Amino acid sequence: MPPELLMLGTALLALSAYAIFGGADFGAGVWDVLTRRRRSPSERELIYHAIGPVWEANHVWLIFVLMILWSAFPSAFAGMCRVVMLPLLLTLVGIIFRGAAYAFRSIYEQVPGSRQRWEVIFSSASIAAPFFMGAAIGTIAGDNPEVTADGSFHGDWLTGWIRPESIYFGAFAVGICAFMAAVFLNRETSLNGDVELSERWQRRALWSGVITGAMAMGGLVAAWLAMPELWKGMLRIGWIAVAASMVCGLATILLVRAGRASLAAATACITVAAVLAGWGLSQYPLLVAPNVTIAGSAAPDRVQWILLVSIAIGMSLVAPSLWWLLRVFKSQETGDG
Amino acid sequence: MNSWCLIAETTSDLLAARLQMAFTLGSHIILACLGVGLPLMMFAAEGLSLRGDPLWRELARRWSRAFLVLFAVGAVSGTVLSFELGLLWPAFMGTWGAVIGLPFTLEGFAFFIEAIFAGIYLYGWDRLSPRVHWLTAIPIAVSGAASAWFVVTANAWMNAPRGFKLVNDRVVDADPIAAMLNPATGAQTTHMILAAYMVSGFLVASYYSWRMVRGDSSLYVRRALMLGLALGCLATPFQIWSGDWCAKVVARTQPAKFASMEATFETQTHAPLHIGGIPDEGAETVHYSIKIPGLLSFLAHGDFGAEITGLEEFREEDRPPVAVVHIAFQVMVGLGFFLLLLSVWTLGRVVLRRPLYGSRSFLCAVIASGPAAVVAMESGWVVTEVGRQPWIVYGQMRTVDAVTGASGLWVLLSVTVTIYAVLLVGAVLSLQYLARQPRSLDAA
Repeated sequence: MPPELLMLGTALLALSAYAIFGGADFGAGVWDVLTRRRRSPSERELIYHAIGPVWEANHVWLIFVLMILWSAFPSAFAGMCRVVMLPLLLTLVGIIFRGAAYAFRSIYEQVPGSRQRWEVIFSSASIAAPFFMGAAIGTIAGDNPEVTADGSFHGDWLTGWIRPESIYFGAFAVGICAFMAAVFLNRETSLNGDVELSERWQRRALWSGVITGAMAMGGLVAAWLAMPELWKGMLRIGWIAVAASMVCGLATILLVRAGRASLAAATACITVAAVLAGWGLSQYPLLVAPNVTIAGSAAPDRVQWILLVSIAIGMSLVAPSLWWLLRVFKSQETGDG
Repeated sequence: MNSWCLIAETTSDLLAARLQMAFTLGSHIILACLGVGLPLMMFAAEGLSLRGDPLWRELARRWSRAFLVLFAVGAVSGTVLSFELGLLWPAFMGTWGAVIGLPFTLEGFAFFIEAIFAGIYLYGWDRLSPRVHWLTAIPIAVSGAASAWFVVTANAWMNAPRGFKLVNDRVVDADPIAAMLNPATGAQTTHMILAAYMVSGFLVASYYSWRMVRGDSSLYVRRALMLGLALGCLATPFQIWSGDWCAKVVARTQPAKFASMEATFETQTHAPLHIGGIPDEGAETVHYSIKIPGLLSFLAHGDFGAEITGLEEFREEDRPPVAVVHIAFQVMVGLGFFLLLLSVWTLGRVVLRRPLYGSRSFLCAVIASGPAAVVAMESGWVVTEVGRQPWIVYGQMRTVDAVTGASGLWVLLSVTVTIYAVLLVGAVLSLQYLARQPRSLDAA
């Protein structure tokens, strides 16, 4: 297998990890808005305490994806940056305010006024960041003839990305985040043995799952209508992953219903990874349709191998650390969080 | 007429992009320094508490709350930079990504470890045994320094690019490891990591000595002051030595930058060292400086008779803005020596067994040390970045050729400044609120 395909696979896995774990952290902010009107202080604390120890580590997956793309596919990365400059900047604004507001609010836990002010900023930023990132991905997944094979761009960076399908995928991304958060919180509350809360999160996981699943079907329609290259690839090979995501998604909803919260969290992770794999496979062998190919923009093999080896070494340090972090804070009986 | 407008527009966009980069990097770097230095101090304080003194634990625990805020703001402002590299300088990334992507990827891992253990440390006070909790500070401190090392290797590469061949503007034979271990790496990374320890140590010392001058000389404040001073003063002499190393490397690898730092226009042997002074680029001379004959040749090459390349060897369009570089360099060196004197003063008080908090003039000097360390560090970055101009990759790619073609960069800059102002206010307010919280243990 050529190293650049291994590299892309790694990037997709890292993006999946970001969508799953980072997505769930954003989703906590989405639920903060959705449940604001009627909830107890303990429920609010659950939402905020769930992400405390982990959000920064989860956020690093994004940096990691950027660095892989940049080092291994420099000209494609330059092209992507040019075409989705504005949604990426807006994502960045969301990321900035989500993180900073979360830290500030945790200092003001005892001061309701200041705390609420930062909470409003935190939760609106938690919706904005995945929305614009989804829109950026929706733009890159579509046809961008203004991007040439060497990564230069002859289009309008201000408005070029504003397309119905991009906006749709932005909303879809927010849905995925909310769904992941609900599934994880359902798992955490039922591990803690909190029957009332876990039932509530079970319901939320169910209906957000149904809505997000329906949005995924809508995404297929959007690809069929507006993204010709992606749709061709979908029919050729992408359908395998798309079908897998449908099966896993359906299984997740059934498992949530049956009260198997931990198993449902696992299948939900696979569902999200399969959706992203479906995108990757459908776009193969293009990185930015129709001009930028994987082979044409890949860094030399030697660079790819050096990167792959250093990623393997790095992961051998990160994986056990990450496991320990999750064990300390996300295993049974997490108590007060 | 038309082409003239076009040039004006391009340079103006270039200026906006450079200001944007300078502003966001300049802000992030202070937080990044604290991310490298503070964990070391928390580690020391918590380690001292393991012998049964709860006040040390209280100190470490309160510092960890401040670290939570600073680390979060540092993480997001660092993310801004990783996006900006691609968004503002797409040609830089597109051309050189294969050569210098490796240190950025490795930096990603170092940041990963730092973020994981920061999560464990900050939220694990009551979940882990005291000893295990204390040990989790080690990976934070180590990976903080490692990520500084990786990022600065990429900057060192921009100063002394190696590890590739350029054929028709396309990179061939990229060798990321040779690029990472370029001639500027050793000196520059050492200088930056020591600067991070100085900034953290002196900022902490500065804050607590201000508290003392204001009348709070509790044991808590005295201990905090002592730890801060210990870190800052220990790092300073090594920093002076590494600064000398850096200058020698710059003299060898980037003669134009070196000549600007020292405001040397003519190529000469027995070159004098200019202390202070205002370079006059038109007349190619320096006004109001103190000249020490031969010293520059000696400092750069260890020989009073060595030849120093002057700016006259470079075409005008290849010269950096001399005045900015020279003055920033003087500010950095001047403040560095002030901090060295302060370190000697501190050492003297320790040797003579005088209490650190006994003298008001000493405390006032310590108050100045925090801002001095920050200004010195920022000036150092001005020297290295402005001194490399007009190149983004020295001798290979001009900054003007790397900037994005997108318009609206001035708007972007003003939005960014506004956002950072909000962050600054938020961070200052929450740190103030933290500092006002009553301490649970208070020995006099």
